[in-house]
Amino acid sequence: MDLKGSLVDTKLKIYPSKKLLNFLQNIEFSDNIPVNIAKLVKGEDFTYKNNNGYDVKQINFTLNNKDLEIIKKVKEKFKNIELSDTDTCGSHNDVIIKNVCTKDAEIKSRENSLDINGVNKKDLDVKDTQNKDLDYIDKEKSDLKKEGPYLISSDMDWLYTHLQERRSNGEKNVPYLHALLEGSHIELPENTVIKRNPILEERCVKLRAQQEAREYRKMTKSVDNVRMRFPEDSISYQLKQVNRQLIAVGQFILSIFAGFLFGFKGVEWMLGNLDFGFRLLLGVMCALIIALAEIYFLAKKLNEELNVPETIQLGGPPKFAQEPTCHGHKISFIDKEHKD
Amino acid sequence: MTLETKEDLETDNVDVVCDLLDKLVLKQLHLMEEKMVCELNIESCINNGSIHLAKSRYIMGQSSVSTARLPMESSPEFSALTTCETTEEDDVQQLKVVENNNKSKVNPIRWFGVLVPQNLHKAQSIFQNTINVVVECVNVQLQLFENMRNIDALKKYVCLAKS
Repeated sequence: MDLKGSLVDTKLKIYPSKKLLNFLQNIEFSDNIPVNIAKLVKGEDFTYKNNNGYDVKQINFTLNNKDLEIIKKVKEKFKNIELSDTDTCGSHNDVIIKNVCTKDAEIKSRENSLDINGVNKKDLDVKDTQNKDLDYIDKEKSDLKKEGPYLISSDMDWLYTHLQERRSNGEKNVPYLHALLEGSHIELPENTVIKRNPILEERCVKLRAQQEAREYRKMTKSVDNVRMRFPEDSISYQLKQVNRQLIAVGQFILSIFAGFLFGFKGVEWMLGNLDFGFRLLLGVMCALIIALAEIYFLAKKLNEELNVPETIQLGGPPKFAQEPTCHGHKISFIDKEHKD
Repeated sequence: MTLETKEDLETDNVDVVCDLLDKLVLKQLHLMEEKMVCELNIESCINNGSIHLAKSRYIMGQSSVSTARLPMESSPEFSALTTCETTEEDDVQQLKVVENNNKSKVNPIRWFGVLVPQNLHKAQSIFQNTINVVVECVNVQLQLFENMRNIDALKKYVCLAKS
């Protein structure tokens, strides 16, 4: 029962392809290059001398109306082709809609359909770890795990503006970002797996078994002729309990009163006439000392009664004491995960 | 058919489309991150709500806050408290949360009793808030799909133009 921790960092990791790497290495190195790109070019342990050497401008990549129009136009043109191209594209769209939850399955299908159409595919190996079975993830991990420097999406923003600038400066043959990104490997962050503490597990099993044993004893009480004689929930039993406590309290009060009387009268009888105030003081002192000692014993007794409940086993199944084990392994109760 | 459309394409148009494609790719990346943030929000919301539910269950007892209190198939019908409406924004379908003003609403808290602990009220408000977060997440997802389709279309266009 391993838990999955929630994501801490929601940044995509983009492992660049060789093409992108080559391109990045040819970029003129300046101070306003983002750290990740600089690391790619200069090596892992690159750090900026002055930390605030760059700041990523929040570029506006939202689509304006003109862009939308272009998309619409292109789509319309394609509608005709798609209609004639049997239904490969249509089925591909259906696939996308159906695989709403499993993103990468859908991307794979997209790649496949792109293959069918003979169009260059963009190799976005996106992993969506959240919606998949664990074994599948493991399989993915073994062949997709990559190490080394990576880029994040803000670097891509920077790259985009950088390319735009170069293009507007009149430079020819500036590659496009989507072409550069082809073949890059994009990885989604993964959840950390939190192992369940074995001590906690042990305690849970124990407590659960204890509770079950208690319930069972309660249930079988009415058919067990040993315990039937100890009806704990009848009125007479409860009254008896109350009586016992009342007697203890009564004893306490009585002994205090006796102590006071000793101080108030007994000392006078022994020594002859004493002042009233002094007698009172003496009485109170005696009562106080006795009360202190009495309280200690009273508390002890009441406390014992509270803790008593079932120290004696009266019939029924053996009371749960130690975890049942089998060759050092626990006999599992784990199957019952959520008990109502 | 294909040949005809190829003739329609204008070469300087390709540059515009390529630039647009770049934008779409960037948008895709950002949408992916946004979706993850949304999912994290949902997760934390549901966690909070569940904790409050568990607390109220602890206070009221196991049986008074349990699935047995939920309405069954045979219980009278009622209308949903909130519903979703589809709207269209920039050619992308988007959902919108709408409060239902129907009279046959039922306050779900009444299933668990009249004098319920404060935690149950809190849990209710948190879960109600979660609806908004979920809808937000769905919207992002829809945008993702739409964006993907756009990228596909533009790619094909560029490929045709180049070939």
